[in-house]
Amino acid sequence: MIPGAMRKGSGKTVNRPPSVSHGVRRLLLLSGVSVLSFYLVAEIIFAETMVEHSSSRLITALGEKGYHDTAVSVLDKLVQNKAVSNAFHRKIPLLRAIERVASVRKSSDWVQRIRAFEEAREELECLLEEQQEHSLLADAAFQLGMVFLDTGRLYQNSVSAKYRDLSKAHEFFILANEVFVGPRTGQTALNAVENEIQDVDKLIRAYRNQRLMTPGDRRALTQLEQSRETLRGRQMQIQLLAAETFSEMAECFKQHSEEWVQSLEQALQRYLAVYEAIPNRSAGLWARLEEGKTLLLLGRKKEGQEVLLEVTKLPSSEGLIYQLRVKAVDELLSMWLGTANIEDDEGFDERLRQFVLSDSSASLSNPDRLSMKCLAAELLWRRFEASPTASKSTRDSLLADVRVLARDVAKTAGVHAASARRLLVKLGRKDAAFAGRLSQSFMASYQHAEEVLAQYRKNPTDSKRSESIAELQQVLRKATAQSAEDEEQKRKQLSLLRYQLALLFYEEKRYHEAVSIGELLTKSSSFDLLSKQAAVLTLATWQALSEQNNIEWCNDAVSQVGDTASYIMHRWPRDQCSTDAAEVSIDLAVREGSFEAIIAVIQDLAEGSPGRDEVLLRGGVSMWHLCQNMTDEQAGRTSLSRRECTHRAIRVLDEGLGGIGRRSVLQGTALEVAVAAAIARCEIAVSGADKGSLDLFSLLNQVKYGPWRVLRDSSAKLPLPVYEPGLRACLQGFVKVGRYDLARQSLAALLVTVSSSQEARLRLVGTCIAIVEKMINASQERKEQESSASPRGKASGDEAELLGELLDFVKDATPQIEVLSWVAITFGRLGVSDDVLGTDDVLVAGVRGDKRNFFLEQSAATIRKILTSSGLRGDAQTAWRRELVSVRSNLGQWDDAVKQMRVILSDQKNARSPFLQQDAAKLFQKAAKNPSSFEQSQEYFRTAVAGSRVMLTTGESVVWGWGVLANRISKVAFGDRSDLAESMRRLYFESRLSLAACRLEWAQSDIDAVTKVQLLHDAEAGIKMESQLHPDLGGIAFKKRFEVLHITIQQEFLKIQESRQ
Amino acid sequence: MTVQCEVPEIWSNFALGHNGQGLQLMLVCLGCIAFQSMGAVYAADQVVTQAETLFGKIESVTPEAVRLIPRGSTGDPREIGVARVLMIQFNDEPQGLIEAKRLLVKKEFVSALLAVEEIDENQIKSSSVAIRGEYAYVQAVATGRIAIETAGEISFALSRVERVIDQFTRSIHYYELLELAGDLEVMLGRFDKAKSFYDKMKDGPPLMGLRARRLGGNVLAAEGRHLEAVVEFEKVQLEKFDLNGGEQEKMAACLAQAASFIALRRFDESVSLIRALLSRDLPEKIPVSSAEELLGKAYSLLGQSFIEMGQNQEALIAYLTVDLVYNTDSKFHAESLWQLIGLWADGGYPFRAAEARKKLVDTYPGSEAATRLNSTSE
Repeated sequence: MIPGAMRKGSGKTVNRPPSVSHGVRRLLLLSGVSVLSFYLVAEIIFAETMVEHSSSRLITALGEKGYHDTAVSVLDKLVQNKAVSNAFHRKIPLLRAIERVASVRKSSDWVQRIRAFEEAREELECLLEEQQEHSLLADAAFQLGMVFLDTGRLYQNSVSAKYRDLSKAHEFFILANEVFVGPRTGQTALNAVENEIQDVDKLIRAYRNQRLMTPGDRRALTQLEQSRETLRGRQMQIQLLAAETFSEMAECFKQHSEEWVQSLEQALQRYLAVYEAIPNRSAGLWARLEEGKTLLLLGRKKEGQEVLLEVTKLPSSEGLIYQLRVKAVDELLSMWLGTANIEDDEGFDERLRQFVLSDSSASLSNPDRLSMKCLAAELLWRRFEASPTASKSTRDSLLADVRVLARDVAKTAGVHAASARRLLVKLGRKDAAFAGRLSQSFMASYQHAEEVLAQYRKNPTDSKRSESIAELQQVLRKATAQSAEDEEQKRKQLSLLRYQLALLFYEEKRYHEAVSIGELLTKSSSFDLLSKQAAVLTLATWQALSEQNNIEWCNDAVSQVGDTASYIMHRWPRDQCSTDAAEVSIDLAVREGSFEAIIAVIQDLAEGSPGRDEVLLRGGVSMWHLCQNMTDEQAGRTSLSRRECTHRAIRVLDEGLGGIGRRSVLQGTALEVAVAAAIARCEIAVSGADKGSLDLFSLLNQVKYGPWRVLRDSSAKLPLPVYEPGLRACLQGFVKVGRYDLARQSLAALLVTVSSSQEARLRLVGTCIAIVEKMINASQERKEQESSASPRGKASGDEAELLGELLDFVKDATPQIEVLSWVAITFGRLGVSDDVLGTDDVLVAGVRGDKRNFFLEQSAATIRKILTSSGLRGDAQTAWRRELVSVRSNLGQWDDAVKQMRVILSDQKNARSPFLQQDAAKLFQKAAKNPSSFEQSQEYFRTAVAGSRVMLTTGESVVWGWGVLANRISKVAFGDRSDLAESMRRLYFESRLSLAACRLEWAQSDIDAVTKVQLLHDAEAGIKMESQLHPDLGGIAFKKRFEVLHITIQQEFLKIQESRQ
Repeated sequence: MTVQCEVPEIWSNFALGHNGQGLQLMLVCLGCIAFQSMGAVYAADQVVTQAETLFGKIESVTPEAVRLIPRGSTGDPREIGVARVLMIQFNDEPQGLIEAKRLLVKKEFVSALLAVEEIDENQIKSSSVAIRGEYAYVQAVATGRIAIETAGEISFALSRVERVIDQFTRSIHYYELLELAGDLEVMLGRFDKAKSFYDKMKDGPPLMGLRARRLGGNVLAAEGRHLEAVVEFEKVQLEKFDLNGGEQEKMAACLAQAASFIALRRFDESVSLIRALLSRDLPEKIPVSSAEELLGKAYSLLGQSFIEMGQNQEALIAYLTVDLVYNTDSKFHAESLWQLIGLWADGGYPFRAAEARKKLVDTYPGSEAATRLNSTSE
């Protein structure tokens, strides 16, 4: 057992395939290096925890499945996991960098890839700076070199001129080589691996020096020896990569320039070094081939030819070696064909000729072998043409070989097929006919199909469409058996025809057929543009299927819409179609009520995708709408609370509004979405969900998308449905910020907007009720917190006006009793409203008396409206009439109040109610003090004291007055000790007290002296009698009131006496 | 058991073949004769343990140990404790029975039962008691485990197991059969009887005692007495026990405790417990297959707890670990796939959800999770 080894531990094996591009993978394959055991292997015997072991295996498995994003998440979690050892922690940045790069390996998005490379670079550079451990350094340096190499390739090979940058590519190739092999101040990958090999060597020596070896030691030794082999392979791999990097770097320069030559020379040296180090291994032989190719490129043809001929003579005809031989022959043929002198191709001798001819045609999909055959055919044809005097047998033999080779190649779909067919045409009529059959038939079919399609597009009738479908199907069926001049072109044309067929199916509403072709093209077409169009068509088709409401496929279609949209967003993240797909996904998520799905769409959205802001805003609006309308079932399905949902919506909306606000001009859809989002944001603020973090007034008036600003701008063309919620948000928003003047303007605009739609008017009713309630509550709160109330001058006037306007609208908008009731009561409260708009409150200060009267009048009018409605029951009638009595009283319209009271009491049931009689007596007493005439006053006092009977159309109305009321209830009041008796006792004493008081008031009114004295006597006698009947006079409170009243009466007597004297 | 050296045939081979092969055979045979004459053993009984396969002559078998005279040995027999024995094999055992036992070790119970039923019963009847015991053992265990997996024919399986326990009291499989009988009683809801079977295991070697206590905890948990079960599982884990297999029992007890915490809705405690377990070194003494099974259970329970706690990302990682790393137990694997369908879908990965769904339906079409999936789809 080696103690040092035991302590060293950075975990056991973390078997991860390296991050390599296609080209490099090819190299690695040939190098014969097993890259499965990627991480350092000298650590194989160390203990590791279960979580480390499991996580390592999980990350490997996730990488194999292509779930690199999840692997990164797992690594991020492990960073926070305290149970993970330091050794494992140290590896995490490396693993994360690998996963980051791997996650974009298949991406066609240049920006996404370059960003991933940058992130990986940062992590790896940090790691190289901070870590000392050889194994980790070796891996990190290797990965960093790969990242630089891939970045260089990205700049060099970009199809788009926007991203192609050869100087940048050069820069990154230099960096790659510095990291792979140096020169560099820090650790290079090569140094690190060499150091690691030394470490392993030491361990191996230590084991071997042990006198006794346990079985465990033996196992460890074997593993170490295997590790050393792996590391040696890695050592060669790095050198090969360095050579490859120099070779690729040369392509950044003009051919034959000084830099170009230098780069190739560097590559040459490195290839040679690898070959010399391992001449018998496939990596060495690969380097030899590359050496030959490089020599040819440098114009050192003789040397290059020698090296390549040497490769062609390799003994093995199996696998990799055979491939190398084919490549070498191909290179040589290419060189020989490029020479002017026929003598120069003598190297293509009988041995090589037989090698090419014997190559099996069964594996002609291999481009190297096709190229080799094609070039060989051309070279032999050149010889045939250059030797008119050669013997017939020689010439026949040449022609026969050319025919065999050219036919082999012509039959394929490779890029060399056209050259081979051209060659066949030269061989004679029969071969020309053969080539013609191969080349022309597909083009003719394609052109025919194009004509059919053009005719249909000119005259798109159903029958023409059916014909076109049939024709296209026919062409596609035959196509596989036909060949074309340019096979690449053919493939493209076939894809186009398939796309057109899918489109025709879509137009014919044969959606299932359309979708099957669309999906095939989306996933398998090598033409990105077509693939994208097909994806969009597929998405549209699934949408159409999902809308058919067919139980057979509706659910599946819905999920397919989501899947296809997600696919588009991942594959073309920076294309407009991605934005469209995101919007479709959001619509779908809204349909499904899935809040999380919207979040996922937004997360999937690439940073720089066009229209990202619009998608954010759409998503945010949808999130808010879902928050508002979330059912309990939906709420149960989401893992987020409603509050968190709203906060997510706020974040998304704010980000989207921030982004879209930076645009210089907003118009069309962008403007519509921005306004809708601003409206949603206002609604959230009004609902109080964002704790006042938003400057609502500024948002409403924002120059580009503020609803108040945009909706009043006649030049902004917005869809009509925006106006109602927009103005509503303005109304609510301005109320919230206390700008009642603007709120009134919003209301006025809103009333115009909803005027033509009863449904919209009813929606507004709800809004108005909510606003009034809020305003009243706010007013009450202000009253409760008097200290915080501050005068707001005219604003309070606007506030009252607004209240009136809101209530007025509601009153006329609907005949619903419930709504009218609320209006009547609210108007009434506002009219009296000391309790609501207390005198200390600024609101009252701003409300003029006439306004209050207006409120009361409105209340009365509304009650009248309620009373005339047919469905009102008797009890409700009474209640509303009592309310009307109250309103009339507050208005000082006593006669009307009395009239209503008499109507109430014309109902016999009401007339028997002591409390209604109490109200009536009170009313008459008050009315008597505010008379329209003296006679009226006398009559009211009389009624208040002794009652009266009047015949109305509704029946005889009986008012008891205070005296009768007391008499009528005395029996119950003093009958037992029940609650009712208690209540009646209070009413009794109240009545007796009021009777005396009423007589006093009557006496104080402008009447003759005799009546006055009589009334005072009656009042005093009443009190005295009461004190004899019930000495306690109903308790202390009543007693005191009786005493005070008695004193007042006596004072009134004194006044009379004094006036007589 | 002694190996019959087919002397005449070999001699005839030698007589017929005049080449090196014949000579070699002759030397082997001469060697056999020499060993027999020395009174030593050249035999083909086998004892398969986790670490090795021992060849020789099985001298005796008890519920506690097998005594084997190793091939070529002249010394004392070697005793292999029951806890280490994976399988024993007698040299004259029918090939079908050997194959059935191999399937049993691989937990392919249905195949094992089919294999054992194909054996000619007459051949078994004429065999030794030991082989008859092995035959009955395979039949009983395969039937019992199938009954537990399918929750059917429990009583029948139990009677078969009890019969073997009664008939072959000296079997090396005695404790395994007691455990199985207890498990079947739990399935029948007869917890007292289950407990009595498990208690009998306490009479065996110390490891069996420890195992019996854990199984007793399982009975309490099955009865819904989770608080008592937690105490029992804790005791098992605190036991000072350094023998082979002890670590495995403690791990199993720890996971059973976590399961009880989940049943008690004490999810954070379940998570802490499993996390503490996972932070320990990878156990070297536990066979890889058993360790993988236990870790599969650990991550499955972890996923379950996280789901309950609403920590979907943590749950996703846990269930992915079951799906991609520790997927040997079909029950946990199917459950993980079921959970992953929802977790991927909620996380906005419809393709991955569909992939998990397909895997569930393709791999475990008849599982409870797949049935749940179908009913949800409907």
